[in-house]
Amino acid sequence: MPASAHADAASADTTPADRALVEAARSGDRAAFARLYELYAPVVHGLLLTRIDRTEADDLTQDVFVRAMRSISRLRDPGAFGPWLCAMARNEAARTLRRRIRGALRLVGLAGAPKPEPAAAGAELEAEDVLNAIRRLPEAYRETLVLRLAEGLTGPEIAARTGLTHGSVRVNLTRGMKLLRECLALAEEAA
Amino acid sequence: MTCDPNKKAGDGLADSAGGSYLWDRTPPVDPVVANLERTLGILGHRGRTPEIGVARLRWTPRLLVAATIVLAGLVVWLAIPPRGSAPPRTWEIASTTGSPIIGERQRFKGPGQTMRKVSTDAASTVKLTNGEATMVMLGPLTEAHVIDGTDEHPWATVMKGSVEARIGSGDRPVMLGVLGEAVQLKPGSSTAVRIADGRADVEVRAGQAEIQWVKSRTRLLGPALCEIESGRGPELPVSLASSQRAQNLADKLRSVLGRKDLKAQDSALATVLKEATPKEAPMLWNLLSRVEGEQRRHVRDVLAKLIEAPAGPERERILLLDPGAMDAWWDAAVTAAK
Repeated sequence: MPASAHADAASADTTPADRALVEAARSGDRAAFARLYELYAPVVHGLLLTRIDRTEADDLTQDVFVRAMRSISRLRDPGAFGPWLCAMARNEAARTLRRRIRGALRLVGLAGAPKPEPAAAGAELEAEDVLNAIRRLPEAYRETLVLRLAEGLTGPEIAARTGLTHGSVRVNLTRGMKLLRECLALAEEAA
Repeated sequence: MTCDPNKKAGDGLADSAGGSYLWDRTPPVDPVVANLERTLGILGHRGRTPEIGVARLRWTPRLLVAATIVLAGLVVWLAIPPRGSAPPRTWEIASTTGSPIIGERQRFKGPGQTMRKVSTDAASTVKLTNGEATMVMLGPLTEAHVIDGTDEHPWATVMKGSVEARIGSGDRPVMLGVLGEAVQLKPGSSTAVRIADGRADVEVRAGQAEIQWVKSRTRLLGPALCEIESGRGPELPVSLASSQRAQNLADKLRSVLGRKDLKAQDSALATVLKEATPKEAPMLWNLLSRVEGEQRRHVRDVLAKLIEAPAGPERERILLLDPGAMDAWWDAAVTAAK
């Protein structure tokens, strides 16, 4: 079983430096907010990428931050910023998916099947293939692998910013990677 | 590409040839991991810091479609408000920053009614007042139609962007048109409305507001947040005074309410009800009209305990969403939440 994707009692806390940034951002410090964005945007983007299209993930990352910063004053524990932001990103992705399903139904009702998207080229196509393979893995593996491989975060950084323990991240990375290798090997064989 | 997502990965922790590289990029480099990093790296985040405090609006085709839907919806929605005895008051431009566009007053639907368009760009704001204590501030990149000559409530319709409204405690309620719904801001309330991409957030910071949609009423006791989606009406509001866990549970419940998966609904509902505290009483009140049958009975029973409702016929009338009983329980829910 994958280690829990959500923060629990034994989870790693937001680092003291990040906690200070959260406090400063709460009091309206824009430079602190910019630094928080720098640190946490890859996490938000990565979580979105495991659930929705890449183009939407880019746009939605900013939306999640705008939402987060507008409501950051209501975050009771600055140490919980990472898990709080992650929950917001997951919720935002879920909303987007619900809207997309309704939109697709409307499109089908109006004009038959929706038009296929134009094919991505070369490297992007390859990246999308690997991403799709990751999307088929259990959620916890999915998120951790995308944060590590697409967003370039290390295991300790993932733990600090998502609220997961080092142990959970290590397990998710190792087991997820093992599954991914098998999936990709199967795909190569099939090709 | 096929693979079994449910297959067990095995422990895998002993597979440490590239484990340290996978963990924190400590050499030796695992060529498979490095190759995946290169492949997937092009999908990683490349964004710039967004401007906070300024409503962002990207004129994407999706947004243009959404704006068109909003405009079409508003044409249908704008109806003559009910008549009352209070003398009409007019919206006045109290102050501006930057260079907003203030349109001329034009004839509107009813006799003596006029409407004017007010819009702001990225560097301007407009403060509107209606009487001494009612203030509506239009943020940047906002468009609103303000309607004068209505008998009962001051009316303004927000077409896009963001507004902040404060209604004095002795003043009349103010009606804001938001994505085709009528949002009634009660006296003594402070509310922010943000519209983008075909949806709106109504955030009541203090006081109360009511969102009228078809025949249902959604009520918010500040601090609370309610999302409105174009054509779908208001979602289940969430109390921002509730704990983070309670908010997350409510969000989960909201996500399953729109589905026909009764099992998922029952499960999410059971968790919310089990952990509900008096702070969640207003949320449970709103839940009554969003569930049916046994689910509604269950919500009613938990809410009755939280607000200490006396036994009697009112409890049965609540199941029928009787307006009088619902009003009485709302008042009790507000008292319990405070």
